[in-house]
Parts: sequence; structure tokens; C-alpha cells
Amino acid sequence: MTMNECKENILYKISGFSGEVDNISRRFMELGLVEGEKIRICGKSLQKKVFLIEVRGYLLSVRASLLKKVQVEKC
Amino acid sequence: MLEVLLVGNPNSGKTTLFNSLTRSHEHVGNWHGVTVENKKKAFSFEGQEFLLVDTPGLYSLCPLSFEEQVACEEILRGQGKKVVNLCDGNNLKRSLYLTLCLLENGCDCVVAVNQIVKRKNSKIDFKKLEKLLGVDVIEIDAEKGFGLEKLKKSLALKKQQNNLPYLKMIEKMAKNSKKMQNFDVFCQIKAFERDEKFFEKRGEDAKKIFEEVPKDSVQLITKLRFEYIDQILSQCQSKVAAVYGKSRLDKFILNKWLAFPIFLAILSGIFYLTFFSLGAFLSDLFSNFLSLLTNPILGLIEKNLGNGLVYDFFASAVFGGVATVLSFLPQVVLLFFFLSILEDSGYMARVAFIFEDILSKVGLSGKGIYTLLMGFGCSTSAIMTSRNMEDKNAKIKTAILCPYMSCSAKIPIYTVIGGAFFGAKNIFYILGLYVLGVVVAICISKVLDKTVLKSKKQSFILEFPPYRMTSLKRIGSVLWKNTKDFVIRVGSVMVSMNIIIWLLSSFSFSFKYVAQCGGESMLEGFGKILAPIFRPLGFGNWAIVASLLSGLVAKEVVVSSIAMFNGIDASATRLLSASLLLPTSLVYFSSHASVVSFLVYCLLYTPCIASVSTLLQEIGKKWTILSVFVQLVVAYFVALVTYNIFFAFEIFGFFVPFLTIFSIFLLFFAFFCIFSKIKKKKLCSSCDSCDKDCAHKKI
Repeated sequence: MTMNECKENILYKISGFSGEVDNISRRFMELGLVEGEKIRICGKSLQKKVFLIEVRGYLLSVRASLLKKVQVEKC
Repeated sequence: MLEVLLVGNPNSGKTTLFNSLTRSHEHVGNWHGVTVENKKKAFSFEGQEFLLVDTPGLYSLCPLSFEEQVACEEILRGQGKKVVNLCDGNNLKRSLYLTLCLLENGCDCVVAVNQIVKRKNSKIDFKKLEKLLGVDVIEIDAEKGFGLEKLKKSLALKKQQNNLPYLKMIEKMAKNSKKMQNFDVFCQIKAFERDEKFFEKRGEDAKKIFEEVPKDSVQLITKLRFEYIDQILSQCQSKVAAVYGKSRLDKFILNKWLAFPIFLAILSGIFYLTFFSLGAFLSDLFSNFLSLLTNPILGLIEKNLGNGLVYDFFASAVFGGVATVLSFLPQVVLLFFFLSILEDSGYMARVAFIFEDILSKVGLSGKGIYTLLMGFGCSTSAIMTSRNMEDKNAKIKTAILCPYMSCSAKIPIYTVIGGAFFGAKNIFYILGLYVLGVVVAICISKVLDKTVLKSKKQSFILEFPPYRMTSLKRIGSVLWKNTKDFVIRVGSVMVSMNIIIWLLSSFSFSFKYVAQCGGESMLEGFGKILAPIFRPLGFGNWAIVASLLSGLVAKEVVVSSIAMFNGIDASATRLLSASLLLPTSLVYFSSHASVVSFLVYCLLYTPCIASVSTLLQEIGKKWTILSVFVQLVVAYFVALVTYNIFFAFEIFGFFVPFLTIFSIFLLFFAFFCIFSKIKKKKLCSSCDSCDKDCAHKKI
């Protein structure tokens, strides 16, 4: 499944990136969203268009549509 | 002089360190992207001179936004310069990523670990970290000044050799490619990172180089770096269970139903304290103090030189308007004080998260809310923060919208003119003006996004900083900087502008003193030409038009010139307010409708010269001209509509105009619904803009 489909407060593991590497996926990787890393969705905005993600011990807010490229699996 | 670059992740405390080392008062805040351009200042230590360069924050040497590009270029140009890499001690897991990028580039690095808020049970073995990274690692507290002496000493030391173990693996991988064999390690890494811009600048064909690179090379490189970081931290940092930036407060602040009411309550509270209660009390106090200073001087001039030209010059041009505006100093400083508390608290990142849903609909990013909120303080600095945007069109759009936010320079206009007519109810009018500014900005953004400034969807990737309290040092710095800026502005721009206006309003075209010889002043002549244009807005008086023209220099000048026209010769805001109600005054408003219309026009028309020149610098001539033109047209149109609505309320009472406006609104709403349905149907054939797998695609 892709990361934009993740449910709140469940632990997932990043299994890879789909498609070509662009600036956004590179930035995700630089921020710690690399293969094998565990993530958790801590919150979603009013219209669920922005996710609050817990990754590598800090919080990151990201637009959900950008997370389509990140493949995840349940831990 | 040795040049030292201050480099680090956004919000790691670079500008705080810059201020501490160079004793400056540069703007700092607890959110991403406060610094958008390089700032330079010299300092000396033990006889050696250093030039410190504060760069905008970045995560790696592959820039994404404009301000990251500025920092990256400075680093890549900076061979032979010293680099201070500032790391957030509470988030080393992520901060060290940039450190590794800098070391790969061969930078002469000193790592400064800034402990902004010490986390419980978090211990770092700095000596071990130093050994593993192969460079000096110094623990500092940029705000309190702890560790700065040690940092300065290490700047004078020679470059150390570092040896990152994973670089050998990269060199090994690069051997498989013919093109990369001639590259140094850094270029090989850039090829693995697929950094197109880097190779374009070197004049090389990036695509051909990338053909020989494995497809998952970016993942490989980032994974290597993070694995090494984990390896380092497992040896020199105690495990921390808590998530950095996570707080129980967020349950309320980010709550679906509470987020917006909390935001509005905070803003309303700030405005109430600034314009009324505390702000009004301090302003009155300061106004009385100014009267105590100016009245004896004017008395002395009158006693010795009589009530003639010289007295008129000092009373009108120097003390009258200038002292009136100066009496608003406490309110302006108070507004900046509250904004700085907001910035430092960590709440701004939450506001961006809350507003992303709304702002993305009008072609802006949630990050744009920083810029727009900054506009409540000063448009000039707000325009500069538009560099946070990643897309050129989004940057232009955000910069164009800044002047619609009601800046602090407009406080005297609202307080004096609104206060004269609406009394205690003025807070609702002021709040209404602030809201109107935001609504107009949103509408313009939507129009620009649909027409000339279509922008790609902004990425919106934003870190959540922890909540923190503002320090006393920071409060002192904010109060000092804004007091100084305001007094300098009033003392330089406003005095000179007032003198020009006094000369133009006191002398006729044949250079005769109007007060003695009679006749029409030069300003009256100009004003009378333009006045008919403003008559439909309810204030077609030449003196009001002249004061609006003078406001092009600085918005505070509108009030000072009105004070001059109405013959207010001391810092008496009450006298000035009362004069606006007198039909014998030069600046006189006949109805509430014309006052509201004037305030709306002041809110929306062209900003001060400083803002226009910043716009010119940031978005170029073409867009600045368009922006100024749009502002004039929008201000005129909105003021015209406002005047007619309020005039109808004055003439017909409440119900008839209310029902008319309500039915017009319903009509527009019906049209909007019909058009959006048509548009949705059209989307079915080529539904590219949907975020989700929508029903249209399935069809």
C-alpha cells in the first residue's frame, strides 16, 4: 500500500519508492523516509489532505498527495 | 579576514548564533525559513578577524526552494572557507545528515551542537562524536552564549582530515561507470543523487551521466548515510524514547473543531490587547509624555518669534503630525512583541498545517501563512519571506499578496480616524479591516492562480518544532529593534515628507505664503485635480486625496499629514480625532460610510515605497507594475462597494440593504454551484488534477 492510505496511530515500515526519483522523493529520503524506516501517522488535517508523520524521532507534516510514491507495509 | 559560513537545518538556531557572535539583532523565530538570504557581519577573536555569513537553512546539498539554493551556492563556492555546521542537539538523527553531506564535499567543518531545550535522559558523548566524525564537535547554547569561546577558538585551527567509511563503497560503485571514473568523490555522490542542476551548472549532460548510474542510487546513498548516522549515535547518544516536537497541547490546537476557533481567539486577543486595553493605555501615556516635551518648545518659539511662518513650520511640519504618529509607538511595538511570541512558540508550524487545506485551494502553500502573518507586522520583511516557496509562480503570488495584509503602519490610521467616529465599536471595524485584507488576498490569489500565475502544487513538507517560551533576551531584542526602526522611520522619512507637504500646502505656485497672502496652495491645486476621482468613494476632498498621496511614501504619513492639514500642533490624538468631525476642518468626513470607505481604501491601496522596492527586487519590474495596478483598482472597487453598502444602511436602515445584499450573495452562490458542477463534469474526461483515485477515473 502507499503511504497516503495509511491509518492513524498504526506503525508501518517503508518498503520502497515507486516511479522515478524526483526532487520530492529525494527530499523525503533526506528527511529519513528511507527503506526499512518505521513511520506512524500521528494526525491528519481537517480535510485529510495533510498528514502529520512521526519518523526518526521527530514530526513531519506532509501533503498526503505527495505520499503516493512511498510504499509501506504494516509492521 | 577568514570567512565563516553558518550552515544548518532550518530552525536549528543559526541566526541566534549569528546574533550572539556578532552582537546583532537579526530576526529569529521557532519555525522553518526565517532566514531567506545570506547575512554577513564581522567579528574578531584574539586579534583575528572573521566574517560570519548566516545562510538560510537546508537539509542537504540538493536544494528544493529558492532560499535553499542561496545557501547551497554559498557552500559550493566556499572552498577555503570555514564552515560552522549547526546541529540541533535534540534531533541529531536528522541533523547529522547535512553534516555528512558537508564532509563529503570536503568542507573545513566545525560541528556546533546547539541544545535549544535539553531533553530528559538525553546524553551525548561529544568526544566520541568528534572522533567518529573526524572534526571538532562543540556543545553550545546559541541563546545563552554557552560554548561560544570554545567555538571561536576552534575556528582558528587548521582543517582536520576526516574519513567517512562509506565513501570507499561509493568509489567502488563509481568504478563501474566510465564517465564517473574521472570525477572526484563529491561529483560521484552528486551523480548517485541524480542532482541535475549540479551537472547543468558544470555544463555537463546530466542525463548521459545518470544512464550509467543504478536506478535506486538515491536510495542507496541516503541509506548509507543514515546507516552511518545510526551507527555513530548508537555509540555516543543515549536512547531517547520521546518524539521531538510532540506535545499534548496538539490534541487541542490541531483538533478538527477547535483549531480554527483557537487561531481566531489568539489573533483577536492580540488585536484587542494591541489596539485597546493595554495598547490604548500605553499610547495615551506616551502621548501625554510627548506633549510634555513638545509644548514648552512650541511655547518658547511662539514667545520669541511670534505666531508666524517659523511657528507654523515647527507646529505643523515637525511636531504636529510627527508627534501624533510617534504616540502610536507603544501599539506598534506591542504588535511586534505578540507576533514574536507567536513565532517563538512553535505555533506557526501548526498554523501552516491547519491552513494547508484552505490555502492549497487558492494556489498557495500552507507555508504561505507565515508570509501572510508576517505581513501584519511589516510588508517589506514579509515579501522577502516569500522565498520560502519552491515554485517561481507561487513565490510571485505570495509576494503580491503581502501588501493586502494590514501592516503595523496602518494602526495610526485605523485608531485615529476610526476612533473618532466609532468609539469603542472601533475594534470591530479594525478586526473587519484585518479580515477584509485576508479575504481580498485569498480572492486575488485564486484569480491569479486561474489566470496568469498558475503554479504547481507546492510540496508542503514541514517539520514540527517543539513548543517553547520566548526568552527575556529575545523580548528585549524585539522591543529594541522595533522601537529603533519606528523612531528612525518617523524621524527621517516622516519629518522630511512632512516638510515637503508643509511647503506644498503653505505656498502657492507663485511661492507666496498662503496663510498671509491667501490664494490656493500647490497641494490644493494638485489635490483638486485628483479629488473628483475619489468623489464616488465618499471622500472627494482635496486634502484627503493629498494625504493619501503622501501615504505612498509611508502609511503613517497619512495621519501626520491629516494632522497638519487640520492644524493639530501637538501629539494630541484626541484633538485630531475631534477635528475630523468638524465641518470647518480641511480633512472632514461627512458620514460613517465615507470613513469606512476611506479606511478600506487605505488598507488596500499601493503599499509604501520600501515595500514596492522590495517587490521590485523579489519579483521583477513586470510583476511589480501589475501588482501596483491591481492594488489601485482593487482598492478603488472595494472602497466603492463598501461606501455604497454603508451609505444604503445609513439611508434605508438595516433591513432593506441587508436583504438586497443577501439576495445578491445567494445569486452569486447559485452561479458558483452551477459552474462548479459544469466544471466537475468536464473533469471526467481528463481528470489529472485529482489527488485521489476519484469516481471520474473509474468511469
